[in-house]
Amino acid sequence: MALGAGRTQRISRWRWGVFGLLCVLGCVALAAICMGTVSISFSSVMQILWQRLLGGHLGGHEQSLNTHEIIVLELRGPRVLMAMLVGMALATAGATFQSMLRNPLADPYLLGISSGAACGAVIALMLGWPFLPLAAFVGALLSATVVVMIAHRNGSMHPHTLVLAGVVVNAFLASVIAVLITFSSAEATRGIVFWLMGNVSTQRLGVLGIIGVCVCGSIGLLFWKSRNLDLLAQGESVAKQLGLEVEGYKWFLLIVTSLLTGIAVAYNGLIGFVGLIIPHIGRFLFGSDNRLLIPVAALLGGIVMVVADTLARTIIAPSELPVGAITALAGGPFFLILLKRARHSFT
Amino acid sequence: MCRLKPIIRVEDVTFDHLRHRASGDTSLLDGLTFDVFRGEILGIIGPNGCGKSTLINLLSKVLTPDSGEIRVDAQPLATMKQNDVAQTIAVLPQEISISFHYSVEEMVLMGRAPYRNGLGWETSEDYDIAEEVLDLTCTTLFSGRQFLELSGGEKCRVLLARCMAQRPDVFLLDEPTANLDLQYQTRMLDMLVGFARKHQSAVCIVTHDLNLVGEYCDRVVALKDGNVFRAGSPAEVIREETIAEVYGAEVHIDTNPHSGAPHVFLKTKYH
Repeated sequence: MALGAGRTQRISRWRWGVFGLLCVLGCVALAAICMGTVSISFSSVMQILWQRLLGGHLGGHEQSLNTHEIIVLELRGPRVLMAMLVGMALATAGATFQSMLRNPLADPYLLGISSGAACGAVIALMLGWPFLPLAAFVGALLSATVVVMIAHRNGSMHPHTLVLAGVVVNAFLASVIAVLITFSSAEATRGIVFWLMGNVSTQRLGVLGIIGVCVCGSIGLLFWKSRNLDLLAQGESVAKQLGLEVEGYKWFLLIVTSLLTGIAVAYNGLIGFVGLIIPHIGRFLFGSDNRLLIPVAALLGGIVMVVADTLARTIIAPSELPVGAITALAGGPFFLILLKRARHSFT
Repeated sequence: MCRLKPIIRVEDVTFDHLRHRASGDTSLLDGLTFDVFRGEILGIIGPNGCGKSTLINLLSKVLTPDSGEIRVDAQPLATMKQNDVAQTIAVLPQEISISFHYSVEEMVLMGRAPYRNGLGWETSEDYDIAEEVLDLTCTTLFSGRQFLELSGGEKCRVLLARCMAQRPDVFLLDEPTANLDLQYQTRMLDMLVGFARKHQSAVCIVTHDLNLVGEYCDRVVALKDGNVFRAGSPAEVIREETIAEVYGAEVHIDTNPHSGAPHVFLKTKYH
């Protein structure tokens, strides 16, 4: 009887959690569009979005855009959308890595997977390949495979060991990037360095659409298979004994998370700690069940990144902070707390 | 009673630890052959490192034998999907290391995962089963608590409940009583034997506790050097000569006046 109640409770928690966070995400995004060097009132933002995106065709003639419309539709709107997508991608990848590696300290940035993506992207830049995100994806996949291979060489490993492995992968890839940069022109170098610091870039709506489909599709895939993450979090042997085809599922996870990380890094550089912190907040609020945690982490990631990016471009306006610096400032102390806790629980 | 069909048939299985060192096993099975019959309680004993844990991993398809074949219900294990294996064989591990908080209820519901695909939202049937097994393992009281905060014995009972939720044909128990106190050792095994008889499931108890094997098992398989050293009823296997040969330990064996089962008495140096 008590458990039957648990079932309905769980379902309603899922609905309200996801619905509530969706509402918060929408509000935060609209507020972020209002804020900036030129502040635009909420009602005019709504009016512009309404007219241009939904009722645009009813207006008949293509009028030229006024300043506010340009800001909303071509500058801030796409940027807020991009921040949202990056946050969603990184937080979901982080939540997945934590369950897969059974490690509360796992994060695409700390494990060196973001660096792998960056390395791939830099190589593509230097060679003049047009498919930057593809190169970033391959780079992420390679470094993720290395990290997971290290992690699984000896069954269950101490979380600190994996983080050390991540530090080494990071250091190695950072020097590869450094060497590559030495061979590029001064101007290209400045671009690369700025990009590496982590900035939410502004893209055309068409590009954003493709990114959006990829990110949401990947998150959807992870969500669809999220029950298996709970089994994998029990350890590989136990997961098999509970009916999971572990090898195939691990490859699936590696490919999808690398895609998410690769896309995030290719357009926005290295943004750390989002993938570490958000899943922990999600677990604190809604528990460890990945069927709830994956969508919750995605939405929370979107919310937090939109807030962080808005801070980055308003704190010292008219100039900008790299958003990677803001997430690291908030994430560093958080990481230390987790490190201390992990030491207590793993002896 | 158990000369029915074998539910598990292990034929000439060889497993070399050197090729699988990464998994942490150091044992070696060499031409191992034995059967597990439907509905029987089977004890598997043997010295440290004789391959008992490896055997559990082989039977649950966590590891694959180098040669030889394992058949489950006449079907080769190698061709079975992991899902079907999990519906047939449930393993009670000695310990489990998880890093995140799952409630006892969530842990037990994972036992229903082999029966659900996709998102695997539990049906009300799953909740009924979870409720039943929580009740049987006396864990209903803390079904809302976090698994990681439980004591060793409580964790063991929750994991046993999860095995039972899998509704398997075979239970593989790895040292089931290691973490249980005296009261729960008998309570849990009595309960499980009753449950297994009711559902026609076989129970394999892998353990060092020979007295436990003597009390509960219909049949005992003693492993030595990667092969079956002796198999038979507890009275046939738990004898002073056999124990001396398998474990290299001198013991005195008498019968339990309460049940008539063989009982092992240690011979220590200072008495």
